[in-house]
Amino acid sequence: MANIKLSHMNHWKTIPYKQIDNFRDYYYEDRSNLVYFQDWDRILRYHKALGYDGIELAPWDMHEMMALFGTPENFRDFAADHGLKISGMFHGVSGAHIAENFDAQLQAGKNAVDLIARFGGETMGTCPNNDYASVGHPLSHEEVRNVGKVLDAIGEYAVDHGVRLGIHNEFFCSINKDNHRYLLEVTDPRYTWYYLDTAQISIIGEDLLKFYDDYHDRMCGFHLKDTADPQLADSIRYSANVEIQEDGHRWFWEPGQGVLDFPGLWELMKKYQFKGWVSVEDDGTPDLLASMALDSYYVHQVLKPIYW
Amino acid sequence: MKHGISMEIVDTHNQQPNRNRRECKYYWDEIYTLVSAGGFSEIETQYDPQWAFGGRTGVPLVYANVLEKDGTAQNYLKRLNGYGIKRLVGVHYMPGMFFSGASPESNGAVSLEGYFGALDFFGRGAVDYVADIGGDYITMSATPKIGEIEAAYGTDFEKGAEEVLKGTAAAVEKLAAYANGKGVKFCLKNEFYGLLRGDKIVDFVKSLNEKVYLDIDTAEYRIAGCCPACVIKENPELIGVVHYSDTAFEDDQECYRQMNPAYPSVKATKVYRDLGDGTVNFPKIEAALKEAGYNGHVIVTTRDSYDVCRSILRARYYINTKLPE
Repeated sequence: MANIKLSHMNHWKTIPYKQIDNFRDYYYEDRSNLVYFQDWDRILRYHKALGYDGIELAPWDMHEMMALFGTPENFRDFAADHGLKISGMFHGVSGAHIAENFDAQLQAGKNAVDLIARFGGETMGTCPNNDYASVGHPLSHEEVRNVGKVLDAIGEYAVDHGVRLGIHNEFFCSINKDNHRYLLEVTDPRYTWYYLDTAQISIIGEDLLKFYDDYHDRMCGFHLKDTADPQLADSIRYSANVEIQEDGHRWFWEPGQGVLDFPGLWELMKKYQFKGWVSVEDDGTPDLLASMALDSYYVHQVLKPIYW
Repeated sequence: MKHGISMEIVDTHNQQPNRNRRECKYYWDEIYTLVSAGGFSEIETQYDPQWAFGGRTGVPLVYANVLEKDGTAQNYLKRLNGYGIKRLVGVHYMPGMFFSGASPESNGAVSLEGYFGALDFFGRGAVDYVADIGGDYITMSATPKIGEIEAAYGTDFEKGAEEVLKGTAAAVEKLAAYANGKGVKFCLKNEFYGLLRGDKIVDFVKSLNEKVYLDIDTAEYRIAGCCPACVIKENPELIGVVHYSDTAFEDDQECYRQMNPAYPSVKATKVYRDLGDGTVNFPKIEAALKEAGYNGHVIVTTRDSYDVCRSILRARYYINTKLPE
C-alpha cells in the first residue's frame, strides 16, 4: 500500500458536459480539438490514464457541477467508475481577522466540510483569510488569533466528519511571511493542519525544506507546484490583484520546470514518513492536459523512486 | 448596414486550451487588434459581474476593472482607438449569476431580493459605464434561465416564474428609467432559455411603463421557434439593437429547460455557430431591417467561439460575400 496518493487540483473550469456520447459527430461540427475538453467523462479519463489516484475539487465550479450531476454523491460515484477518488476540496476563509465574522465564517466552513464529506473527500486546503491588499494593514497578533479561532472551530467540525483542514497560504494573503508561523503556533494541532503549497510558501519567502522540516508533524496534504519566483518582494506580494499579471507572467510552473528542490522535499517526506494526498496544482497553465502529463512524468520518474 | 462585433467571441466561462490567457490584460489588447484587422471598428462587450470578483481585473467586462486598468472610461476608449476600434457602442449585461438555486450549499434556496438588488447595483454600473464611454445602449438578459428557476422552485415553478417576471418588470422599469435619464437606450435580450423566450418578450416590453427596446438576437429567436424577420416587421419602433447570431440548433428535446442550455445534455452540439455556419437567413433579416428603416447597431455575435481568429474572419467573409451594401 502506497504512503502517497496522487491527486490533481481541478483547474478545468468550467466543464459544460457530463458525458459526450455523440463524440464523433460533435467533432465534425467544427473540427476543433476543443471538444476533447468539454466533458467530465473525458477529463476524468485523462486523470486515470496519467496515473492520478484522485481529483481535488474547486468550490468555484460547484454550481455548474451540480447542474450536471445533481448531488455530490453522484459525482463521487461517477469518479469511482473512472477509478478515481475525491481527495478533497479547496476552501477560502475571508474576513476571519474580524471577530464579528466568526459565526458567518464558521458556517461557511461547515458547509464546505459537509460538501467534502458527501464527495468522500479527506482534505480541505484552506486559504486562511483574504488578501493582504484588501485588509490594508499587517494583521495584529489578536487578529491572527481571530483567524486561528475560526480555523480551529471549522477544523474541529471537519475532524468529526472525517476531513482535515489545512492552512493553505497564498503568496498575497494577509496571513503571510510575518505571521503564518504564528498562526500555526496559536492553532490547535488536533484541528488545524497545514496544507503545504510548495510554490506559494517559497514565493512568500520561506525555505521550503526548512519549513517542512520545522512543521512536518502538522502536514495533512500538499499542493505540488513549482515557481521561478521564490522570495518575491513584499511590495509585490502585498499589492492589489497581484495573482494575475497584466503581461501573463506566471508565478507557477509544473514541478521540475521551476527552481524548487522537490527531490530534497521528498527525502524529508521519506524521513518523516508522510502519508496522505499530494495534489499537483497546475495554476495558470495554458494547457492542462500537457501539464498533467508533465507533472505525472516528473512525479513518477523523479520523485517516486525516492519515496512513495 | 454597419456591422460591429461583440466580444462574446471570447468564451469567458468554459474550459478550453489557453483559457488562462483570457484573465490577463495582454490577451484583450491583442484581441482588439484582431477585431480591428477583421474590419470591425465598433465593438460591444459583455458586462459580466463575475469578473468583479476574484482579482481578475485584466478582464474588461465590468466598469471597476476598466477603472483599475485605465483610470477612466475615456482612457480605455483611447486605448481601443489606438488599436483601430473607434467606439464601444454598448454592453450586454448578464445578471444571471446572482440567481442560482441548485447549489447544495444553498439547499435550493434563492433570494429574489438578493437577485434583484444585485441586478440593480451592477446594472447601474453598466449604465454609468456606457454613458461615460459614449456608448448608445445596454441590453440585459431579461430573466434568469428557466432551468435555474426550476431548480430553485421545483414543483412551484409556475409560482416562481410569476414572481420572477413580476420582479423583473419592476427592476427593468427602474433600471430603464436610470438609463433613459443618462441618454442610454435600454434593451432586453430574450435568450431561448429565459422566461420571455421567443416573441413573449414583445408583449412584456409593451406592458412596461418605461421606454424599453427589443434586442433582436437572431439565433435566440430562431431556437425559440420564432421568426426574427417577422418580429422586425411587426415591431419596427421597438428595435433597440440587432445581434446577428447564427445557429443550426433545433431544440426538439426541451433543452431550453436545462441549467446550462447552450450545452444540450441529450446530444452535444455547438448551439451558437460562427456567422454563416448555421441556418439563420441573414439576407432576409437584413432586408427586413432595411424595409423597417432601421439604422441602429447590428452586432455580430458568435458566442463561445472555439477559435476567436477564425470566428472574426468567418464573420467578415460572410458579411463581405453575403451581405454586401
